[in-house]
Parts: sequence; structure tokens; C-alpha cells
Amino acid sequence: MTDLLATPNLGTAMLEHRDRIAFSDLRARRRGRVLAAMEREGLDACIFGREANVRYITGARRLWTAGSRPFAPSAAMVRATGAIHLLSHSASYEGMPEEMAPDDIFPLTWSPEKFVRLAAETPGLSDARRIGVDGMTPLFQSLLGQTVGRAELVPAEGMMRSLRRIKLPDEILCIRTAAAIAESAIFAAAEAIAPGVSEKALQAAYLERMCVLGTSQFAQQGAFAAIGSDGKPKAVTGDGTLDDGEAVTLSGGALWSGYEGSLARTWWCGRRGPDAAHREAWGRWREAADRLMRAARPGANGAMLRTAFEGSAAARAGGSFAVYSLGLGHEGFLAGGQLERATEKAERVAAGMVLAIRVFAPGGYLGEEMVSVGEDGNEMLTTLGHGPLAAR
Amino acid sequence: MGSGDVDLKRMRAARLARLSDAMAAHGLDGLILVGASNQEYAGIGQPCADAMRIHYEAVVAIVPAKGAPHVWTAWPELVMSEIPRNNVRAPIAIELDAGVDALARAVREVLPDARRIGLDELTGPMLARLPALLRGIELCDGTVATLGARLQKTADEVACIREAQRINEIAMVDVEAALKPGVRQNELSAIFFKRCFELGASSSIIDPIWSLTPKSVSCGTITANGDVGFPLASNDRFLREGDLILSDTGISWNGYHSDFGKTWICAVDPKPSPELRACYERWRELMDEVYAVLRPGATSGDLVRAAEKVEKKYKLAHYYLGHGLGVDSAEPPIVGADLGRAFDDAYVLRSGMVFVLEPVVWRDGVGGYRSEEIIHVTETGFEKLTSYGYSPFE
Repeated sequence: MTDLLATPNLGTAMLEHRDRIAFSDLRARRRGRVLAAMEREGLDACIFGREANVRYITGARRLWTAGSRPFAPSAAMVRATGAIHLLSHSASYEGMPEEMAPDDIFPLTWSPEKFVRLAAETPGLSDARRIGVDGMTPLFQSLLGQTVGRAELVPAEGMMRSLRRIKLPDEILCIRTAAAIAESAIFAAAEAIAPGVSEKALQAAYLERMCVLGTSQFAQQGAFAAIGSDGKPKAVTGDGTLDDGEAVTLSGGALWSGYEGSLARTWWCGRRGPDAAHREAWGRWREAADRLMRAARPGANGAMLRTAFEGSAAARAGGSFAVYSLGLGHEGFLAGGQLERATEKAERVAAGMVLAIRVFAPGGYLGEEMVSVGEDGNEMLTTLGHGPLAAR
Repeated sequence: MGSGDVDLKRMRAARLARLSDAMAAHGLDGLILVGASNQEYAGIGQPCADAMRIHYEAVVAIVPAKGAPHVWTAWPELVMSEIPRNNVRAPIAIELDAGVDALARAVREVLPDARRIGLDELTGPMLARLPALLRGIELCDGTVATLGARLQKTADEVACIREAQRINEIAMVDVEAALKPGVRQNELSAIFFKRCFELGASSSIIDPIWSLTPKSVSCGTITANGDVGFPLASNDRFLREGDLILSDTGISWNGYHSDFGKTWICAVDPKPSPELRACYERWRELMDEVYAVLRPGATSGDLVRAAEKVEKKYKLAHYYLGHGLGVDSAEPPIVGADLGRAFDDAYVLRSGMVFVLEPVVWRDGVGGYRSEEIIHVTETGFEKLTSYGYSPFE
């Protein structure tokens, strides 16, 4: 489908380079994996509302918005035909992959009833017995009940999470690009640090750099803030200004082709260098992060990652950690974070995963790295140095 | 009222009272809130993240019909200080069965006598497990209560929207100046974000849109409705001499969203053609007709009829006139959509409602004009919360 506007809908970046990702192949392989999983799970169709799943099955580049998308059926896949249908949000054909025909896109409507009627008219949906869904609102639950009433709605986010966690090689290339953009943007914020500068100005520098590099879509807006008097990193960028002699956390993530690259660093604000206590915090962070990276090997489970962390000096000092899967956004914790300890044992590391390892060492170092887990070893995807706190 | 006059504590107390009233009106003993905007309304914040990240760092809130909310979150510092700290606990992983079991236990503990509870969103495991775990409790649509409470804004809420819009508009001065041949969409986004955050924006809430608008339907992108195709997603494309640009951006301030939309021309010396200027003048006429009937007690249908006196909607089958604005970028009232004339006629405007009017006047072969105006319905009429000018048309 060509866009007939005079201006090409393209930038300038190495369009002919042989290493560029063949996105049509990537989309076909992702869809093949979903169809095979649907077969295994006995699902006749899937209706997804979550952006990650919609992107995984359609490859559509839709308007980015912050926050959860309250469930509205956004894309459907029918096992018998292998057909995909894009159901909403996008009135325009722009951003649609070439294998989708205009007929595969449903008209935009504000009416949930109309929406569901359209879905019911889709071949293979109205007579499906088991339909996988990734979330729901009470309104759509009742509307779907009226139109595909015979079908059982089956939670399918677990299935999709398992698929998304194991990356195809081209997905890792996308993540590498996202990681490079995120690093560049985080470093732009680091370079803006000076006494008297507002925390919001660091946020501004980060987003500005990300946009200059070509993406205005971020995975997380990030937190750019001095570590408070309680010694803990802040969750969001504050309204204050930086003082001389403060440790400043820089945390954020960028998206490229839907894939996320995220990292965190702790920098230093001040003419005089960091004090011994802060350098010591960095040393503790390094030790704990290294332990987790060594432990994050195929076959390990979340409980084993916790054990590795709990042997660190950072843990003994009251630090915290999280290991989670990254790809088309956050793909769930394997250990720490929001996971209950009892369920960590069920979360397994496997070759093909990309993991984010986040550690906070008391005294003042927050850092997050991305690592690609391979059969033969792990590879660091994050390359940015650790700044003044790590300097000798 | 400027941003300095906003009393956040008073605003939060008023919102909880409205939620409580709305629950009473709909016979609900409590709400389970998973959606970020509903939580914001209940005084519970979280870091701004996109739709692909937020689900796995979930915050859960239970709001009883009377009394303070209970919150399960990784970010207790973003929960309003009026909520007792005993009510703020470690997060629950509601994407997993074990987390949903924990949620059900929490509901039994916090709402022991509840017979009827509203929900806004459900994860898959909530959908599959909650009905059995909460047997005896009727689970129903909670958005009737949340949207009902959110519909009429207090003066503090209106002041927050005004401040968000003020930041957005100031940033746009720099963007409009940079809109010259050869600039790329992402460069405009860079300028926009830099200025917004320097000015104190809380969050970006939508990818800035610098829509390169086709001058006729046939040369635009194909749309499923057969509409004029307004491309949305921005990238690093070049904007060139003579391009017609529809901007559409938004940020948030203390949870409240702005919405800025203008039609601009990318040119060394931007001057609209007489045909394009006629679209703009028609758009002004249309807005004047709508303003003339805009007051509390009027219906959405009255606004649509007033607009159609000047201009029937042209190939915009799914949408015509306006949408609400608050802790979401598009919330009720929805004016002139494909919900039907009967829906619009039954929808009565009330004081405190805030919505965006964004009609398009389109002439195939010429292009069109759209500007977005934020309207606050007052006790006696309305006030505009937008003040940006109309260059290069004026």
C-alpha cells in the first residue's frame, strides 16, 4: 500500500543496509508462533486489547498513548483462517503492515454495541468455542456475552507472555536499537546535571534527545531526581532543583519499533567529586548486579535469582532488586518487584530472553542493566558507563 | 483562577465525596479500580508509563462507598497523604492467579459486608477467578460511577486543566516558529517536550501529532470509514513547503490533561490560499453558531444542529464535534459521534463539564481547517480554556 502524499513517509536511516530488519518476515514468524500456541491451548480465536499483544500479532504502528488502555477489542486472530483483524483505535490505514488489506480494518466507532456487532460478523469469531482474551472491562464482557455468547472467554495473557519472552533474533536487534536510544537519552540528562538545575530540566533533556533520535514514544517517562534525605530513589521527577553534593538517579526507557530499551544510572551533582559513602554504594551495587547476571542463566528460576541477590552486601544493607523480562514492553517480573516470593519459583529463565536487572544499593546507587540470555552465555545489551560514582 | 489558586487537598476531598455519591447513586458498596486515570481521580498516582509497561507494574485500589481508599502499590509516596498509611500496602500481581487470590482476600477484608462491587478493568486471571472467589458479591460495571463522578469538574479541577493547557500553548509558540520547510516531525516533538517539561508538565500523555494532511481524500491514506485520512503516528518524516499540518498534542499537570489542536502551513512565508482561508472562515462561523447555543441545559444534539447549520459533516462518519477532557484525554461527554442523534438529544450539558470542540471544515482538493477549543460550561454559559491565536489565518 503506497502512501500517495508527495513527501515520503520516511527518514534517512540506512534504508538499503543489508543488516536492516526484515519486518515482514518478523511479523510472519511472530504470527506463526501465536497460531501454534493457539493450537496447543485449544483456542479458536483471540481478541486482544493490550498494546503488546496487538503489536505482536498485527505489527501495526498505532498512536502511542500513556497509561493502560481500558480493554476494547483492538485486534483479533482466527486460528482456522490465520486471518488478523484490526478492530479499533485507528481510523487510518497508515502504520498498517502491507499484508493487511483495508477490509481487515474495522471502521472506527464510538459505539461499543457497533463494535461488538462488527466483531461478531468476522468469520471464525461468531462460531468460536474458546476465545483467548488478555483483559476485559465489565461493559465488553457483557457485550461479548451477547454476541459470542456460546464462546468461553479464556485468559490468554499468560500464553502471550510466554511467547513474547522468548525472542527471535530480529526482536533482539530491535531491542538493541531501543537500548542505544535510551542510553543516549539518559546520558543527555546526565550531561545536564548541575547545581541549581531543575529535575524537570533533566526530564526535558532526556525526552528532547530521544525525539531528536527519531522516537517520541517512550516506554516509561522515567524518573530524574536527587536521592532524598531518606536515602531512597524517587518514583517520579520532582519539582525541585539539584543541590551541590547530591546523587541523582536517572531512569527511563525508549521504544523502537515497539520494543523497549530501559536503563537506570545514578550520577553526581557537584563540583567536588562524590564522597566515600556514595562510592561504596556503587561498589555494593556492582557486586549485587554481577551476582544476578551470573545467576540469570537458562534453567534458573526466580527463587534462585533471589538467593543470588540475598547473598550480596547490598541485600544485607537493606537494598532491593527486581528482574523482569523486556521486549514489547514489560513482560512480567521473574523475581523481586511486584512478585510474591511464593511464585518466584515458577518463573524460569530461558535462552532467548532479554532481562532487565534492577538493583538499588542503600547509600545511594540505583542501576538497571539489560542482558540477553543465550545458550552459550549472557550478553550485556547496556553499554553506558556508570559515571562519577564509579570513577576511581 | 490560576495554578497558584489550585488547592490540591480540597480537590482530592471533593473528588472522593463525588465518588462516594456516585457509588450511592448506583447502589455500589465499593469499587475495585485498576485503571490509572480512575486511580488518579481517587488520589492515587503512579509513574507515567505506556500501555505496554503499565500492566505489569499494576496498582490496585479498593474504594469503599464510605471512607478512605485502600491501595496496593509499589509507589506509596504517590498516594495522597490523606489516605491513612495503614491503608497503603505492598503491590499485588493481578496478572497472576496468586495475585488475584490475594485481591479477593483483600476485598473480603476491606469490604466485609459488600453485596455489590463495581470494577473498571479486569486482567485475564481476574476475569477467570474473581466470580468464584467472591461468590455472594455481585460484580458489575464500576465505570458508571467513576465516569459519573468525573463528569462535572470542580473549580480546582478546571484550574488544573487550564494550567496544563497554558504549558501546552506556551510550548507551541516555539514549535510553530520551528515549522519551516525541511523540519522533521520528531524535531518538532523534541522542541515540544523540552519546553513542556521546563515549564513544569507532569507527563506526556499522547505522542505529539504533526499530521501531514492530504488535500483531498483520494490522495490520503485509506481509512476504514472512507473518511478523510488524518495520519496520526509521528515519525521522522520531513515536512516540506506547502504542507498542511494538523497539530494535536497533550500533556498533563497534576493528573489533568491538555488538548491542543491547530491547523498550520509549513512554508517559508506561510499564507493560506483563498480557498483554504474560506475553510477557516467557515470554521469560525460554525463555532459562533455552536457558542450561541452553548449553556447549561442545552443538549449535545443542540450543539450538533447548530454546527450543521453551517457545515454538514463531510466524510467524517464516525465523529464530528467534541469530547470531554479531564484525567483522560477523551472522556464523556462525547458530542456528535456515531452514538446517534437520540443519544445526543438526551445528553444534557451541565455546569462544570469540560470538553473539546474540534470540528473540521473540509473541501476536497483544498484541504481543511480544524482548531480545538476547550470549553468549560459555567453556571450561566461557558468560558474558553484555550487562548492560542489562529496564525497564519489571522
